[in-house]
Amino acid sequence: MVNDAGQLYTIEGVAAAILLLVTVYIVLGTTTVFTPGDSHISDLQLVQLGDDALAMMDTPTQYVETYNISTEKQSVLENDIMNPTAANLTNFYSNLTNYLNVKSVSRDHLNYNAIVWYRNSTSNSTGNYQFNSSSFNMTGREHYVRVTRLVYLSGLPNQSPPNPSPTITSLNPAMDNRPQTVLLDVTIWRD
Amino acid sequence: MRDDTGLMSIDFIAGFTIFMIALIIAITMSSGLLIGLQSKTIDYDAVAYRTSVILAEDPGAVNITGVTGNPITTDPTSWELVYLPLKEDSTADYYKNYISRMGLAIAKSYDNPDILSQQRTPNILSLAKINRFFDTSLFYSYDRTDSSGNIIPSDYREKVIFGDYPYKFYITLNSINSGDSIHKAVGDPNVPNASYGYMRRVVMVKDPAANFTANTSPTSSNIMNISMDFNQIYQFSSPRGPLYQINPNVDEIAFNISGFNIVNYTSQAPKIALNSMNISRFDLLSNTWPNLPIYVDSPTVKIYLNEPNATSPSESNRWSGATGNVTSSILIIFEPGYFPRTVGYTSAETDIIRGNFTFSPSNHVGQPTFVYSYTNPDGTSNQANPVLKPCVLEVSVW
Repeated sequence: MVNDAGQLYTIEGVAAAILLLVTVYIVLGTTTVFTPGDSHISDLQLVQLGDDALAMMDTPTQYVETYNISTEKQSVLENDIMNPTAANLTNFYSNLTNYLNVKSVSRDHLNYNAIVWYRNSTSNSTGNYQFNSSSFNMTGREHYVRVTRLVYLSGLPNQSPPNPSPTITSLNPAMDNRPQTVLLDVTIWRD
Repeated sequence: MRDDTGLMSIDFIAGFTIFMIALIIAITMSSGLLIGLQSKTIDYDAVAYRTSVILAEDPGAVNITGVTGNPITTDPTSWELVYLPLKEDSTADYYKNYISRMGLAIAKSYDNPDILSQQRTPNILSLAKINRFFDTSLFYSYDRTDSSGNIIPSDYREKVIFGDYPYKFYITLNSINSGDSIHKAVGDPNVPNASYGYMRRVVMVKDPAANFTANTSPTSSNIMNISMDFNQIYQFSSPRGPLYQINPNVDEIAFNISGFNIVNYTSQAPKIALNSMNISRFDLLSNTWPNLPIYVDSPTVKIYLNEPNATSPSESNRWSGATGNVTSSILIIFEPGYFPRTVGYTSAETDIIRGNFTFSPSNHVGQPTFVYSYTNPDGTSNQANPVLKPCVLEVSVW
């Protein structure tokens, strides 16, 4: 004769089966959320683009026959950091803005903020100053990426950039007067 | 003991209902379980990125297995030197098979293994490779169907995109500075508004700018030999590294000769007549100057008469081979790959090439032997200095 001894277990089994199925469904469904077909991997694109732009700015466009090993292949980027005059900063701005934004059709809308990290010889620590930025009104909500490039300088920069932040009162006093490598740290975002 | 048979059937119905509902839900879900795992629609960005890396950072590759002699290059990265007929030619596929990958970066030099020439040059592109890559008279940019209905993938899909799926693509290269005027594009310009992969790279295009000018001075001869010392050009520029070096094997080299004593004779316009010309190369072993062939198709030597624009000469000024009138200048252009085609890849950089011109009338042409010098007497370099031009490379795939 059939009794009801197993009924509760059957219901538990069904509940467990539902639980398993739902779990598997959610797990499988979750993995595809990050790769929908029509979204770009925007971070990768921005990082690669910024990296390219800095690398190309650090590549001299022409070999100058000066018979001086440090000026024969001086890049625009090194020259701009060494001599941050208003004219050179304008040049830096137009170069980087163009490198980031020129497309075959229309223009992109990328902004940047560039900071220079250097060794502070007085405190024997790393210091930084704002080098240059695109004109922007940052809301603080931008999704930005960060690219860096180590730039070789043949000596101490000739002057401090205008209106840097934090303020530099004199000629980068804490920076060593010797050939050195500084880190150009650029954040890039699309507005 | 109470009889509970009636209860059981109610419990059974309840349990069975729950089971059936669960089963129905599960069956309903099962069709959607795997749909998110389909990968065909989501890798456009990855394909675009891969394509941009091949284009910007890789010099390309030649399948040199079994290659013997000319006109195929023996340099493993100089795919742009592989001889190619027009794409409609029946032998086109045969030659294209020698190209396994079309990258645009400057080739690493394998024949001269010093440290400088082994530098990698990512994002520095070769103008000769660019001109070859964007030449749709040589490559198919769209998939075709053969007579039996099979799809033949486009050359770009086979050699730079590398995908089994029939991707469409649009690749553009534009100079950032408007004065550089580099504007190249290949593929389908109708990029959809959504669901496409995109990658943008900032690159530099190396313009070898190897345009030499030479002034002769008139003497009493109707023959002029101009000696072009490619060894001097190569040796002078090679310490600068691959970015700023002129390599006669892979770079276009132009000589613009002027300074002829143009005469006004027999009441015609001032001119002298170029009757014949040949290009010869010094052979060290036999100590002779055997002539080099001048091919009809590229890569070859092109001669232009009275061409004002040495960087982009007009085909209407090209010398036909018959007697032509010189009123101002003679422009000789060695196309990239001419030397690998004629004398082999590694030897051109040590060559002395001589252009032998015969004019009429006599007494009014240039020096019988004019040696072109890459360095000025004061030690500074002469004219030619390669320039890197910033450009934007865009790859769209869908």
